[in-house]
Amino acid sequence: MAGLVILTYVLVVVIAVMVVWQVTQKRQRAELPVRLVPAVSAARRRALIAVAFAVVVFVAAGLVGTSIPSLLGIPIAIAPFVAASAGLLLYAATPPRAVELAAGQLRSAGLERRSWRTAIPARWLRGFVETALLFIALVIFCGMTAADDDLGYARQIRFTAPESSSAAGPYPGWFYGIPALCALAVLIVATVIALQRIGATAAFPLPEDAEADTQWRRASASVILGLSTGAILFALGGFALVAGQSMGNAIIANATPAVWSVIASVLFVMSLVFLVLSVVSITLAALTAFTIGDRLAVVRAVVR
Amino acid sequence: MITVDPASALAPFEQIRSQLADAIRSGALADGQKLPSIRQLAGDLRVAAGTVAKAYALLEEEGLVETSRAHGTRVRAGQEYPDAVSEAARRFAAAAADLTLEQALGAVRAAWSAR
Repeated sequence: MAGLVILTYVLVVVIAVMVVWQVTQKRQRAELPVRLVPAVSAARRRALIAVAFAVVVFVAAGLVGTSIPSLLGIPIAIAPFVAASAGLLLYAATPPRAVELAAGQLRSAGLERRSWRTAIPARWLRGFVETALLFIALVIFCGMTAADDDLGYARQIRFTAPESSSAAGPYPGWFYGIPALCALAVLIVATVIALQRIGATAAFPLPEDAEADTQWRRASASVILGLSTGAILFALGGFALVAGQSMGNAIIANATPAVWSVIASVLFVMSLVFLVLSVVSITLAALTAFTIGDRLAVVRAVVR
Repeated sequence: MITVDPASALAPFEQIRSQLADAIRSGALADGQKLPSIRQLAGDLRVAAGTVAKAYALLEEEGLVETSRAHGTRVRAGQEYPDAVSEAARRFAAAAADLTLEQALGAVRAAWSAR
């Protein structure tokens, strides 16, 4: 079931990227200055490879999780974080390409200190932080409401009534929540490392290319944060979906307080929203990766 | 923004030092402003890290910047020219609009030695 969801998710992302990419390809584009083409193409390639690698690792982790039942689904719980982290670390490990200059050519540099935060679009950073906080809140809620199963693992939810009790699982209690939080921490570190790599890349050396330099950094940072946010949204959606379903199954009719039915329904609906937002986020990241440099060309065409 | 001209007779570290010193004294770089890291500036200007490090060391010797492990290299407070000097320089630059920079500096040198 989980493997099917993962494959369907990947398929939806790939189709969404292809459709939107085909649409955007029909727009007429201006051409970049020749001296910038190798560096911008390399930046685009790095971002695309990172996204593609993350998708491959995601599918692989999903297959491992479904083919080894003894792992009780842990690989699936951490798959989005591991996959995105792998993509981002590959991005950070891939050397950027510098703009080549003639031996005696004048070169310039700005005096603003760059860091991992320099090129981040504010709305992407806000989305990333809010999504991460929401995920942490959900993990804590599920952890607090989970009960131990027969093996002693906190991976089910139980409701009791005077004469009966009902339990259902898997439920994302601490058994899944703690590894997921650890994986989230790894993802945050990987995100900062990838953004640091963008900040540390040498700037385009000519004063007239300063705008182009800012543009490629912002586009690349958008890809990084889009991938990270999409991964967290997928985990958020997955946790909410499983929690909502198990909670709904465990509720004892006419005995469990009605608020639990409301929570289960809210979790189920929110899970669908988060999963759709995850597809949107990953699709945007992939599309931005495809189009790094296009906005530079547009800006230049307008300037001309 | 600073530039390095590889064709200049002036060594790259001196080009960097003089432009940063001018920027600090003219107030273009504010008190306490962090300068780019040595690695960043060297990468952007396509020079060796040692070249930028030497320029920063000379600026520190001049008392224009201060370096610490925690905060990197920052502009030291109170290094700007007095307002009267800046204003006089602006007026002089306007009056010397038809001269080259070297000719204008020559006029300053002549006035300096005669004072």
